[in-house]
Amino acid sequence: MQPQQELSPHDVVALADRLQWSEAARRRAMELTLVPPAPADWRLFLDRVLLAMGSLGLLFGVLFFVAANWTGLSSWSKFLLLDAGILGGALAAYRLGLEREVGRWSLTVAAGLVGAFLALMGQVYQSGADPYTLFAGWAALITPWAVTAAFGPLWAMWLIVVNVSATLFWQGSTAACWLGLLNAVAWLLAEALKPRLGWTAFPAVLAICWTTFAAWSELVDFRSTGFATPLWFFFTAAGVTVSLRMRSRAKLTAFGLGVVVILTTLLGKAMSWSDTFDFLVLGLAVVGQITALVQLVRRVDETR
Amino acid sequence: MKLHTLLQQLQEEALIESVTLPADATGMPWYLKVATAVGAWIATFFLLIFSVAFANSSEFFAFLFGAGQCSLGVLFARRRRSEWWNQLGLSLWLTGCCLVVYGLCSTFSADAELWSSALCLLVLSFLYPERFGQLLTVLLAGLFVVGALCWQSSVPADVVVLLLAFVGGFCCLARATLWTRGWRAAMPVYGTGALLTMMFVLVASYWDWTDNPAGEASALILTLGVLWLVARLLQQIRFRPLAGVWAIVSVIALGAVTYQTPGIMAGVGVLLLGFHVRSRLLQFLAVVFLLVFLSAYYYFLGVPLLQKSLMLFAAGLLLLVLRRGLRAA
Repeated sequence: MQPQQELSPHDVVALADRLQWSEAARRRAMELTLVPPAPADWRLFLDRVLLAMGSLGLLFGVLFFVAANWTGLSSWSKFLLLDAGILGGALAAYRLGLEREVGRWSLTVAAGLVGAFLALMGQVYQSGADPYTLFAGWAALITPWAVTAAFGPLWAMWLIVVNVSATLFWQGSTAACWLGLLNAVAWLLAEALKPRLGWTAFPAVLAICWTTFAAWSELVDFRSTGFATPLWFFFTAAGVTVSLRMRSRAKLTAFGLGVVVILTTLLGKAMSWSDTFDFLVLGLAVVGQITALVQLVRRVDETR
Repeated sequence: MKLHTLLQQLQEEALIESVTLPADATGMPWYLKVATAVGAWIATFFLLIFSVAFANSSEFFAFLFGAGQCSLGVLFARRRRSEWWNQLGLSLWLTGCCLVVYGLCSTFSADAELWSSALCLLVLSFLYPERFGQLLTVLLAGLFVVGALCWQSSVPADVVVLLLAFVGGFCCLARATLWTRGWRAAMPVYGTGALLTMMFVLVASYWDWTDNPAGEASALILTLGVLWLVARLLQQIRFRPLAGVWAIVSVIALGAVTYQTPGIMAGVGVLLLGFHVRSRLLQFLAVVFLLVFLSAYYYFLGVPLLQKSLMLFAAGLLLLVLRRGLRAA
């Protein structure tokens, strides 16, 4: 917990329990925490909420308006509309500057509209190209923006587009392995260039999900590749080592959950299933693994 | 209140000695809670299969077995010996609850089965000594409420929304009083549980999973609730009267524009309540539900798309004007 973090009554109870505060200290801490937010805090909150909701209302209003008139518009008008949106977003980002939140959001909206533009192009000109090329083109076109903006949501959007493109491209039994590797590389890049790209946890979680899914599929004979389980093992070992060095408890928890899934599957496979007690053993095994995970993660001190 | 401010204040009043904290001083971070909850439910699933097989499909044995597991769960959670016992206690508790509900409520008629299960879980939640387990039990009860509305539809969803909005709002707004009177779980467990269940009921209503879905009546109830909340907050913040009038007009306008999708007004209300009680969970979920219901609004067929776009545009404009007005005030 950070010193600047806002406390809820629940946090105070946990804090008081752990540090074994006196009853007087507990009562005073609760009195101080249960006071409703100050008028200045409310003003700041309402200011942000009204800005966000007002902007959302305007944005959805415009989107609904375009959708309502979409069939009546000529191809040229549609292209012009989307071009104006992309240009407007990019220019707004340039004018406002990428160091401001509004500027970075403008660029994110423009990046999203690039995808809509490519989809329209595919619809109007019916090139017959594979669907993955649309997403690959989208990802390629917005890569410079994703790299320049260093903005979490834009980086996440770029990663999602890349993942969709790769999912459409690799459709064999090895797809999950390649996607895991791809996201692992993105994670390493995000860590190495931090904070130039964006959230590091997002590609890490994607990589964990894909590699764990690949290994699980192999173990339950759903999709066999021959190398998914060793890949998962090496990736998890490397990931845990890196996360321990960085003292990232969140990433360790994500890796830990992957380990719980694989170990439980292995245990399930090893059982004969001739007795209902097997379910009891499996349930207790999950409890044990989660306990070990919580205890191990708690030992890692993020503040050092 | 921020952590360092609280610690400094307590140290100044000589109630604590040091302001430095050990790494694990403040309970579990959210990702560990998620891992614990996921683990507890997976373990519960396996334990439940074992228990049902062990009880040999007899309701009576299931009830007895469940009551035993609940007792063990409570015992382990009370003793708090180690993480293993806590986790085992939570899994045993959840398994026991499911078995007790199965044993007790399957004797009722089909119509009352799901409602009685929800009520039974709500009563059971009072027995568990730890808040996280209580919240999971209350959320399970909430799922039974949604199930009852979907499959046993004699009660209109509007009535359930009214009840849940009242319980959630009351637990949040009166949390200080409730806390000092010993109801420490009121806001984090029952307030959060009621508001989340209300959102799920609205989701189920929107997708027509219920025969008597929440509609205009719920929109009216929620708009009136948010109006009352805003009036109360304006009193507390002491804005100028003109800004207050603007705020109330905006809420009425938003309610009028979205009267066919009551989830939007519910999201606004939960967002305000979430900030009032400083619950990050409620604020996060309110934003998620707002986005869900705004997207759902697109597919609503009662109003033409063009009209919807103009209404949303006007509502957005109104909110931005209100922001300027509040800034000036």
